[in-house]
Amino acid sequence: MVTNYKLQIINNKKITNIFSINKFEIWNSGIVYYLKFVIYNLLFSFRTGVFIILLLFLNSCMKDDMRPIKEFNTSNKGVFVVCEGNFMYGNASLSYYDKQYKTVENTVFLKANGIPLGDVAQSLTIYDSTAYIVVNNSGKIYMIDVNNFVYKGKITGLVSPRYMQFISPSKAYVTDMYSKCIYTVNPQTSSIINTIDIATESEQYYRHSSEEIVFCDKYMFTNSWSYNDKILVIDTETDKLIDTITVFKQPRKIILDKNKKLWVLCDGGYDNSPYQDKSGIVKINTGNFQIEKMFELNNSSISSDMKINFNGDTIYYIDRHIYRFHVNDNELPTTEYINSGNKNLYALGIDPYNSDLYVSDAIDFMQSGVIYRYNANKECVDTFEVGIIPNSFVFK
Amino acid sequence: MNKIISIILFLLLVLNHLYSQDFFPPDSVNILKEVPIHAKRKLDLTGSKVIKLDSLVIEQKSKENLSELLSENSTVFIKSHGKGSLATASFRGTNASHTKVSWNNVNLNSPAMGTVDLSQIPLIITDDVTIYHGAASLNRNNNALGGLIELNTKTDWKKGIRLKLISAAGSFSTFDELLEIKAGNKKIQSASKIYYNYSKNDFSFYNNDITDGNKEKRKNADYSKKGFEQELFFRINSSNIISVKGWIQDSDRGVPGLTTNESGLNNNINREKYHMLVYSAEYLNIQEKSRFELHHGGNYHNSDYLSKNFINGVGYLKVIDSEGKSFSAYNSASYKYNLGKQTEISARLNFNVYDVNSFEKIRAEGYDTTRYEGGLTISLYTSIIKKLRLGILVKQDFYNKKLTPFVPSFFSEYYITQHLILKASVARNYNLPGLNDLYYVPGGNPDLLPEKGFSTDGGIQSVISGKKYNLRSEISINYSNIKDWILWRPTAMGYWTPDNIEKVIAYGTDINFNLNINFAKIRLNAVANYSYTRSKNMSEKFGENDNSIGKQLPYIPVHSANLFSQIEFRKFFFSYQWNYYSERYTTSAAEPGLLTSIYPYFMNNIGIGKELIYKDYFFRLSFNIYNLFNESYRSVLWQPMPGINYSVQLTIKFR
Repeated sequence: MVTNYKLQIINNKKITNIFSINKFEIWNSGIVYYLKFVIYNLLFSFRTGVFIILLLFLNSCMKDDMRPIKEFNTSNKGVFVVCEGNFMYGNASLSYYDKQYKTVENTVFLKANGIPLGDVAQSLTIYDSTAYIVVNNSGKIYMIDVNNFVYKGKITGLVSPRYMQFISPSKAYVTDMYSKCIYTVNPQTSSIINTIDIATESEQYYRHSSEEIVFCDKYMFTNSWSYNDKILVIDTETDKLIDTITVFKQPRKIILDKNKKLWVLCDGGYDNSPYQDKSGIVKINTGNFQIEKMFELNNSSISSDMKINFNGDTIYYIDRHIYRFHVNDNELPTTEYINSGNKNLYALGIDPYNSDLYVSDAIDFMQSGVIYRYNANKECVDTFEVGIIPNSFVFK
Repeated sequence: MNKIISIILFLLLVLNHLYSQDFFPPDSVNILKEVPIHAKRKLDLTGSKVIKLDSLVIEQKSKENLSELLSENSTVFIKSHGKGSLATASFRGTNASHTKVSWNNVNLNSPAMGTVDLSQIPLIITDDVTIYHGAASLNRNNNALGGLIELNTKTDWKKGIRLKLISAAGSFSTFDELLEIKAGNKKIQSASKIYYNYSKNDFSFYNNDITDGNKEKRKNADYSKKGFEQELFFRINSSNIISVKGWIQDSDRGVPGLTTNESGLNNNINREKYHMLVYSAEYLNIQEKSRFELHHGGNYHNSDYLSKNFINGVGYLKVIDSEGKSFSAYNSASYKYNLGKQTEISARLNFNVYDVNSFEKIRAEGYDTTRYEGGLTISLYTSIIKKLRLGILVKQDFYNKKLTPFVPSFFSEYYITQHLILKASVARNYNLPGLNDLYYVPGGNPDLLPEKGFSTDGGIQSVISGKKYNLRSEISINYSNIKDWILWRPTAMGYWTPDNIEKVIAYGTDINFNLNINFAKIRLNAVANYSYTRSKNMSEKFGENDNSIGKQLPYIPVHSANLFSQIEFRKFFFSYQWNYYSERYTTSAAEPGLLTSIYPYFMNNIGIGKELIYKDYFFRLSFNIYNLFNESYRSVLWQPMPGINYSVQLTIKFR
């Protein structure tokens, strides 16, 4: 019937003048019939009513979260790439790279468990056959099996956890950005045992955050990064803060060399912030907590990562490009080890088994990052895409 | 061939314009808000896409906020974090900071953020909602790269007292109470509005984003808002009118965390408080051939953001304690003169001052700055021949001691018939960086340049009406090229920082229609909108691995559509609201997948009600069902939205 009305309009000989005002009525009258037909149908036809209702229900078949579960069994040596994702976007993910077959599997936590990892995956620590993923802005630590990535447990109720290190199977330390304390947790019972107060001093900008953890003898060292310039020393026998060491502003990464010296990479604080100064690398004697050397870095670029090789004698760091130096050197290198080109390098990893170097390009920090794997001859042997903001590599 | 002609005919039939309409026959008893009918299209709207939202829709949603109205009834895209939470608007693929919202010519955008939170604008404070797309805003006091949403209050100079009371209660302890009193005579008029909205907003949802996930209640998503608005109009004589308006509002809301958060009940508690005071004073002189307007308005805005955690042995510890204070003053004078019936010239002077003080107490840093802006706009609109209208508008603004890019623009429209208009416009435009973009600590970039846009649009508008129906429609296509687009991106330091990226190209089409039918005691009103939007980053690659070039910008849907319809029969009415958004991406490279994109959703709301008129009283009782099919859907990643929910609303009007 609809078609009939249309034909009727079109077959009208005066159709060519349809747009002139005078002939408008002709077109108009056709429309009236057409509309009447539609209205009759809509309002009074049972069939149309049923059809409309069906249409509405079709709407409701919405594509909800489709989360098929995938089974993994990775017994080979592999590399976890922690992709922190964007703050408040909840797009953190975990990638797993098989070194032998050069294959990568992204979002393995989601695939193996059907749930997202959470908001800002800060770090991953392997202990026994369990990987502990610290999910910073979700206030929790997820435990998964290192081979099949299946969920084993979680520690929740943390404020802003950053890193985790074990001192025994039943005791681990968890640092925190905002709580002004370090947690001691029992991973076997997934519970918080105690908190170590680190808010001993009060001064402007003093945010009392705690970050990476390094154990040396009976001491635990941690860097207070956010709006701070301190290395904190904690006696692991008494779980008390016993000393603080002032370094450059915002100590970001700490590592221990073979000579038991603590190396600290400081990013110098934020641009245009009153809390900004030189960035640099600091060498600390872990025996007497005294600074041995302070190297200044070029302030125009962001120093984002520093790692040491398995033997503890060669340090690699990113200061736009990748640099490396020997722990006994008296100067920082002036030429880069690997030039970054136009990449936005963010994280470094050194394979303890073969000393391969893994570097991440975070690009614009709003899309999936890319990993470059170099062998000892600086040859790029593989590149692969992972998740958003790859911030660290953990070797299984 | 016949088929093609019939398709074209059908399309033309469907074209039309969303205007306020007179769908009530003149003899019917109608005490709904009177809707002025533009007998003739205004000359200064030549070539512009300007949509005045249907007054019936506004009336239906009078207890809601601008965010709900626009997301459900316009082609403007609203990114909402949930009811009562932050909601921003974007036009045709542009940014939220490219959308300006004004109330009686006072800009409501925060001078710091550049954006406006539409969930903080209740519809009770306005009588009209008019949307100026793209270049159409150049002609107004607040020009915008994307578009301008103008809210205006007005008076009908009626004698006596008019009252309106709305009381509503809904699921999740939601209450809305509004009272409006209008009084006056032909010389003086007053309107007072007072309102209170509260919701615990603790809806249940199934959390499958954590292990051992279960049905849980949304926490810390409550909101409350209270406000008072007063308007005074004085008609000194037939040609001189003065009006003074003021609006004060206090609001307080929780900022809920993501579904993946497991830091505990006492941690990650975020709250936001706003206090605002907006005022506007206007003098209007209308002569036979001229119109002179003088306006001064101010917007004082104070916001507090607090984030805290509970630490054993310490108590609540503040993590963020941020205070933002801003004052903006808007001044303008405009003069319009008619050179004969078909030609008018106008000039407008603007001078605005912005003062922002933003400080974060825990990090002990912030900024305090003042910016001056102003400029001159001159326009000429003329109808050379009867069927053709042309307009030219030029604008030169400045800020502090710098000149903004010169803005020339051209508008034209051609009347194929009296009911069918072809429109086209081409314009340059610009957008200044917000003060946070420049100075926010950390991250602000003082070297940012203004964003410069070139846009063109064209469209067909038609009106078809008969004795018993009225169909208005408009189809338009648009293209803009924006250079030095400001984009905030995270950095290796963890904070975000803005940069001018080279170029963004946005294009698309909008289709709007509005149908009214009066047939056998049945009234049918339907308003439908569809928009297709492409918005792409067309800059140089950010690095060799950059995949973002040519990709749709985050959070902008390619397709969006909505429909509102109401059938009324013997004072019973049934309304149906439907809307749809296609998939939205959240990363710069527009990556699909659960972690990075938001699946499409359809939303269905219905309402039924009954109206009753007794002497000078009007009663209306309505019952609404939202999310009729109990869909689980999202507007922002990992922020749950409520399932099926209900509200009951009683409206009482006197006279």
